[in-house]
Amino acid sequence: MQLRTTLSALVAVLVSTIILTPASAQDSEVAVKTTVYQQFDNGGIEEIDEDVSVFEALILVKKEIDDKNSANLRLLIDVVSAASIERNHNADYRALQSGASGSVYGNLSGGWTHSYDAVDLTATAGFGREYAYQSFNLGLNASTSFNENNTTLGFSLMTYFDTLDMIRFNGTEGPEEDRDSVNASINLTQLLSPRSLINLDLSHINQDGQLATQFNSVWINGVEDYEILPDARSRTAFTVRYKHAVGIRDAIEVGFRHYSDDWGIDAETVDTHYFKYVKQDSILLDMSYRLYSQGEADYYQPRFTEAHQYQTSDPDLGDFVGHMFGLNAVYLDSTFLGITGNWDTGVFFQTRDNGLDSFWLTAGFNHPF
Amino acid sequence: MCASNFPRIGFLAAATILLATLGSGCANVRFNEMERLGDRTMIFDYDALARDLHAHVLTPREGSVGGFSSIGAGGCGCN
Repeated sequence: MQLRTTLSALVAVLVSTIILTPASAQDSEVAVKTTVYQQFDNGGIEEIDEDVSVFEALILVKKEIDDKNSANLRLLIDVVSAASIERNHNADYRALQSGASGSVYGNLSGGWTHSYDAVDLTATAGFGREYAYQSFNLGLNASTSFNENNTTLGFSLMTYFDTLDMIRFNGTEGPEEDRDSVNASINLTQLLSPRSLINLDLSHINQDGQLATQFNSVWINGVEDYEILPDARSRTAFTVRYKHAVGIRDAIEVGFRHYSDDWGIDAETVDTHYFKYVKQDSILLDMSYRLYSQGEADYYQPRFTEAHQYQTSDPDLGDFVGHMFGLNAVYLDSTFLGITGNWDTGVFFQTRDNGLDSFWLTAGFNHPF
Repeated sequence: MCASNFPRIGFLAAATILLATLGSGCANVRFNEMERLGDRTMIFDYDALARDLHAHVLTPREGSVGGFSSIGAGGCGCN
């Protein structure tokens, strides 16, 4: 609770600073992003309904305090989150598999960036709360540019301290459990030519504590049982992205990520974008395709014939291939609802070979002040 | 980081980044050639909020995490 009080005080100081300090530069902005997400259960686990509907809003207020300091606040809200155990069709406590665990999720975080001569330092702190868990997070990242700004090197460290209410699929409750996560990454961006650049990222994550999703279940000869997973997990992702200018203002981006962890999951991601200006450069289109291929965890089986030390039937830990298509449009310097800024709207669709298809619509704006 | 759990790909990636950093000792692009690189289409994660929103949709539904966004493991009721 001392950590919670300290974080609350830090956020209060940030809010006061942002409200009371006059904006000093054009880098100050208010940004809002919203999404409506729908997952369709055309497969997955036969016994369980995995349809999910989520409305999500993300609000950012960033304010430049002076030429060396800026502060930001981020508020994230989910309504009817994935795997709600309060949804009507789960009244018998047959909880959905995978995903977050409540009907409303809120997360408030704040950050402060200070620019030294050669290094930008950002510290962040946040708190999130949902039906069955709460989370504190602390983060620190640093970036520096050299080689006449041709090279940018960044380091990031993010820690999460989560507390889970052990509400099981059958409604039984146990004592609270902790889950701690440490995310460390190193990131390099290098200019290759006046029309191309590359980005490399290595992320390593260590987690310990209650790593099974408390309300997930498995089926053993037709009898429902708890999901049980190891209390430690080591995860590594290596990402390479490349951008190249096309024509006068358009661009392509190609990214590849290899991921592996000590639960036996290997995954490959290919992410491609084509950015194109249209309508006298007043609209920017982002057409994207993402291929995701994942191998199953060592502890995964769609259904079990006997109890195991570790057992999960969560399709998100199984093997599958997903294809995602997206189209996003940014209406640059446009006025809508009396707000002038960059408005954007997008539609995204993902199909998976395990039957869990989904689509989501996005809308938002950012308004500099 | 725990060396025993840090897979070979991690060491290869770390070596790649280190070599890229050391190997990028010369500036390929002069200041007066950077105009095209300043356009939002040429900046990785220009709209960081949109990037994080997508990651918040995708990450809880996949077994992997990291790399394409600042969203990491933790802070989520999922695994």
